[in-house]
Amino acid sequence: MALLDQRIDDVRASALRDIGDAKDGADLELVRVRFLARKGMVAALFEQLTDLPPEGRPAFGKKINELRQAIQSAFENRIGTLGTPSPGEIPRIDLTLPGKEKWSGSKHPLTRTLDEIRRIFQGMGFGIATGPEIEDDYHNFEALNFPPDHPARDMQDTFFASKNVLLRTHTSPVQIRVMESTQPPIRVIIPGKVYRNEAISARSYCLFHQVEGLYVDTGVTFAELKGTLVAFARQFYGSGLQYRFRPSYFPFTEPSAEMDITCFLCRGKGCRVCKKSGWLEILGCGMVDPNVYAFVGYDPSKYSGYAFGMGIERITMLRYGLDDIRIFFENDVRFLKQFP
Amino acid sequence: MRVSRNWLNNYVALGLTDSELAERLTMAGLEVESFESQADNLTGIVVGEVRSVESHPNARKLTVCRVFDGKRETQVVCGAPNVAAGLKIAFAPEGISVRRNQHDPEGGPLTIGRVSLRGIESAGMICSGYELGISDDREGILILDTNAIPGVPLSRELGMDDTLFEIGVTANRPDLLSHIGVAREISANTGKPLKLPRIRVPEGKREVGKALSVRVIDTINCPRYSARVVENVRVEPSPGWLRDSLTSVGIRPVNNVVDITNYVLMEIGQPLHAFDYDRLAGNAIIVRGGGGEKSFVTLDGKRREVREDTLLICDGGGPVALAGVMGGLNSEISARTTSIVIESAYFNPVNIRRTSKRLGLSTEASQRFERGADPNITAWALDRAAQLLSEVAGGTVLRGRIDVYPKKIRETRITFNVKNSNKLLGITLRKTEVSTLFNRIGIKKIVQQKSGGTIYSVPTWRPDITREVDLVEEAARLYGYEKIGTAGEIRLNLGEHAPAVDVADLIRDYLSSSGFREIVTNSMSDRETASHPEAIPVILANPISLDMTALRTSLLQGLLTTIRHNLFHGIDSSRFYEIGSVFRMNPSGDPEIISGYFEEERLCLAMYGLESPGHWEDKPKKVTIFTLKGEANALFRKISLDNSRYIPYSTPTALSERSIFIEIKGERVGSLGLVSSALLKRYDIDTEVFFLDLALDKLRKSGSTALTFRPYSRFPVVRRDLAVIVNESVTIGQIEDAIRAVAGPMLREIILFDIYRGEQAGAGKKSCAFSLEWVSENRTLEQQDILELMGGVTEKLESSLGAVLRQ
Repeated sequence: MALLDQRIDDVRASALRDIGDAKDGADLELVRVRFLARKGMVAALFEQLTDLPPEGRPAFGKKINELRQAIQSAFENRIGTLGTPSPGEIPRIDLTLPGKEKWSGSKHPLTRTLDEIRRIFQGMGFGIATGPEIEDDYHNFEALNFPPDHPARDMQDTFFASKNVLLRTHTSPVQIRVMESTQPPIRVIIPGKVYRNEAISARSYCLFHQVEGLYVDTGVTFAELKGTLVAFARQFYGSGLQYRFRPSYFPFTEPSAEMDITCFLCRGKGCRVCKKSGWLEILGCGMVDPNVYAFVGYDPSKYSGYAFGMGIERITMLRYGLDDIRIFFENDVRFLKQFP
Repeated sequence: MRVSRNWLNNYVALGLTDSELAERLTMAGLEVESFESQADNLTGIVVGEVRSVESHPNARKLTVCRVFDGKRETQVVCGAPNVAAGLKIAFAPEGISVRRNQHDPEGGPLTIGRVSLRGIESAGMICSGYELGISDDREGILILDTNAIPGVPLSRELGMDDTLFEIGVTANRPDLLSHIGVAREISANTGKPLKLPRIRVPEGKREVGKALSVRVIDTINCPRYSARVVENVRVEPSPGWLRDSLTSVGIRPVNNVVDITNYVLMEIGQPLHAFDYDRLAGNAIIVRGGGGEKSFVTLDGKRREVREDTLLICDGGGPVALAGVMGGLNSEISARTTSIVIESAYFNPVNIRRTSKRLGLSTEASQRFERGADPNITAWALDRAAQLLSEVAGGTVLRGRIDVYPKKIRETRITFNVKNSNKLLGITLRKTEVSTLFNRIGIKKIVQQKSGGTIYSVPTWRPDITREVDLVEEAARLYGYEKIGTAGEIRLNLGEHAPAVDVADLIRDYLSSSGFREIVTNSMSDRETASHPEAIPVILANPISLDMTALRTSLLQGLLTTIRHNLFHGIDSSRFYEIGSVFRMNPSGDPEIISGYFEEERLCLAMYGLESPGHWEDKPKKVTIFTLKGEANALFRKISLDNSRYIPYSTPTALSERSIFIEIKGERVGSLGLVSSALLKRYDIDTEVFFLDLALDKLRKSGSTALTFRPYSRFPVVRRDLAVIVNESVTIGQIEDAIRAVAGPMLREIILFDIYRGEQAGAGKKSCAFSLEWVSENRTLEQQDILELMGGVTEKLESSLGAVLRQ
């Protein structure tokens, strides 16, 4: 019992000394925790009560309570004299020093555009299909209703590896590959690299990227094609734009169309980019030509469908105001980091 | 195809502004790529009269002129040698722009201001033809007709009031390669009637058959051959209207005979050819395939190879023209020509295209024949040319036409059902509406069938229309695409389950968030770069240039090209990746789509420079092979490739030194390593570059994307450290393998945390310190368990690797 008395006195002495010695609020707080917290020294004394015979406990309990009040009031008095810590008492750290950076990565701007196009069409129920970049004449031209010796073949300057093997000039051969292996309904988009044997300039490169779309089912109409592409354009370019479809020619669609949207640079007034027309051509499309169905063994009296295709580089250039297609393939970090 | 507004106006009343016309044509499928008004370039420029010319007091070559512009006199300083009082000239007053600045090497525009030239004020300019953009004459000023009236707009004085439309004619519409063809579309669009020129050919007495015989041997490739003979022709420069018409649409005038054939070509689209009658041996024309001759000189002076399938126009002696492509030098119209034969034929499109392609010779004629000319317009075009020849070149036209047309090509008849059309287009047109629309472009209703179909007759100038669906397009086009509704609701048929995220997308997302920049590089390179000891590159038969003859066999070169570019621009550290296809010949029969060619999608990443951006607290650290291994491990975890294995490979490969192959289930899926110094040298890269290369299709096969939960232990983890001294030759991999071999299933992790070399380890030795983590699935491990396990590990290391436990 004397032992416990001694212990109480020791705790009181060291608590009062430490409170007196505390230099600042943080210091004082450490003292408070050491003595008064739930697992502090005063609490430990209470626990020792259980070692005492029951009749001795109330008296010691009272003593420990007094101790706690003494420490508490010494603590509060000290706070009063100490006041809140002044900034000068916190160790000085220059918070303007730079943090530890990491290398920044980025997706290529063409991937960003493609990702967005994919997201929109996937939301409309389109799947994704891909195919080879080295193609045969049959899939790239013939089955797409480009007859041999037809001037339509001049529309796409082709790289050949041999007489019948070439670098695909569009993603459309994948339409044929998909239809060869699948029965309708088919609803896919087809992204990929395509090649054209054209002189390299600010406006054209020897390769570029396309996204193709194909939908074949019963009763598909031209109006549905328009509806789908308008929905796409609104989501991609914004709902305020005007659009138009005008007749065009692709051997594998009939009727064929090109879709224009209001030039978003000049808002239709006419500028250098839209060649003063106020319109920007964004994609080609049309109803799948029945001759194509014949090549893949679909019954043209049963099925109809549409196809469309757009160039990723062109769309990306328009979107970010780029005027030289070659910048995509130079991969300068000063360019890439602008698309974080 | 360039089309002149004034020319079109001959065939249809336009009554539209230039931009309205451009809009209408574009919406009808005749895309106007650009249009240019001649008058726009001459805005504000007027006829002026030079009232007086005095020498400049301060400059010998300059004169001070007073110019009257119809309203007032202006003082102008002029430098032209040919200026003189009394001349009518082109005057650009103050504030007006001229098209080209004579003193600008690039010939940019110039706006006239009020300036002081050597102390004399000048407030306008007397223009040269060059400055106005109407000729190349920059030596002297343009001198106008003496009767020109001062103040009249120059464009009116010069008759330059035309607008030229550049139309992108699609490959299926040969009929639009002429002014009448375009006018027909305008007529269909506006409802204004199409007016064709009235033709009256003043014929002489002599019959054409007495002067010329025509024999067509190859009637397959020449279904129709029409000809006329014109005598007493004066070959001379064409009159102004004819020259101006041709110049305006981009055709260079030659002489009146050639110009007339070109005029008719641009008018109706029928290519004509004029032969010098007196140079045709035997007064005969024979149309046949290539026979004995090997070559033939065309009128551009070039010798052209002739083959058996090359259709030739011959005289009694031999070839005089490559049919439908180009005439021969031997029968060319010259200044001495007095009698001519005009040919107006219809040739087989495929034959003409083959010859034109083979010879790389594309002409105004071949372009029209290969798309399909109108077989039934040859006589009309012939008569039109004969009429113009007699008017312009004073010729006497022999009586009658020769017309070899053994089998008439008739109009195509097509059954069209408006229900089918409406079903495909999603509209509700009526039969009568369709017939009205068709009638506007010459498609005539023949008969209404009881079945609901209507038989239409399609004119021969529209070879693109052969099926019902082609008429559907015409119906849509004439009705107006813009009037076809836009379906507001889109059918949605979803697949059974959403497709799994592709590994390429997963990798892109991960790497781009982990400090790597995605790049896209050219798949074509020079042959040497594409050469690879394990791959025969695919070589292009018709490359753009020598440095793009082969397809890439690896993505690494594109990465190195990118690194070189960025190093040059001061980017000393970076990380790049590309996902793309590589190609090679496939003699070994790997899985392929196109026989003999192998193509696969790969990922390649590369890193160089510092491990992380510099920071004041840390010493800069360069990337090492271990930085790369760490990145690779993190990537593999991301794509659930936890069953991959590294196989260090000591022999340098073509691309790398210090390679490590990556295997999954025994199959090599890629490699990582340090790019070989020889390769880096070729790219002038003087810093180490580390790369990782993976075959994505192999990952797709072996990667398991379906995740399943594996329960983990709820008992405490026990960690024990172990330090062993081994010979330098023992690898960490060997030590780890040995530990795993005996540690049993309770070993959770081996972490190497220190390697020490020095006195205490001994010469040729190293001390390696590991933390081993143990955990049991079903109980708390006791001291005794750990002692036994660690004892087993130590024993194994001692016995198999000669390790000494370090105390």
